[in-house]
Amino acid sequence: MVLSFFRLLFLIPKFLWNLAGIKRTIRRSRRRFKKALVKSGIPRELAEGLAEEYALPDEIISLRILAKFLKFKGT
Amino acid sequence: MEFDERKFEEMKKKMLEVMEKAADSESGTKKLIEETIRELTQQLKEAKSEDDLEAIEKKIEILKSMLKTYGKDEDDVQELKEVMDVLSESLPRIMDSIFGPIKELINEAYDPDKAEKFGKNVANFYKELVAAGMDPDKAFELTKEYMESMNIVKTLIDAFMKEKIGKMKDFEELKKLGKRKVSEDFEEEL
Repeated sequence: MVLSFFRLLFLIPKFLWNLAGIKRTIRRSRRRFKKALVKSGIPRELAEGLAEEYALPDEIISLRILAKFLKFKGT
Repeated sequence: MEFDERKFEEMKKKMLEVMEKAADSESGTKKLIEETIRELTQQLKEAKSEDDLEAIEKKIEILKSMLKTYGKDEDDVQELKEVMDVLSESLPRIMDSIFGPIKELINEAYDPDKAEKFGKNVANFYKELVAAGMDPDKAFELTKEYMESMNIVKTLIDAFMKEKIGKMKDFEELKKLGKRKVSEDFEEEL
């Protein structure tokens, strides 16, 4: 039973790691996109705005939103 | 032979303590139960009067009820054990089956090399619009629309989340409204 409990407990860091992986991929992609825009001669401010538009906002992939969503689903 | 209540109480206490530690030493409990049964059998053999027999019967009844409770606890523990085993085996698989496709989809949609190419395309699109004489603000809006049409995954996730979060916000407002109404009614009653 103790082993099963620890196995379940181990799911939390695994879940967080997966979430972090998704975030990392999106951020890396956003950086490359912005870099390409700036290199092509787009002003930095515009590039910033377009990069924000390109990637998923950080708030969507956060524990807070997920927790809120689960709470909302539970009601 | 007399029914020594104090001695029996001590024995009962000892047994209960051992039962509480049953998770750690199941064999110890079994041994103690066996010992008690052996002792009672010995006492039964040595019993000389009806009083002795009555005392032993009383002991047996108490032992029976204790064993019943112990059995129930053991069943509950066993059930919990089974549930935990099933959960610990199936939950990781469920999580992998959820996260695997999501990760693949995100990796595909947000591949850095593709992002770079897409960035170049978007920049060309914007520059061509501005070169054609369009107002930069209007060109920016059009570029955004162009990006939305190209980035389907983001559009889908955005639409889904907006709908859900919108519902959540409505729900929160409804809750607040409900609370306000209840407190207003309460104040009116006062």
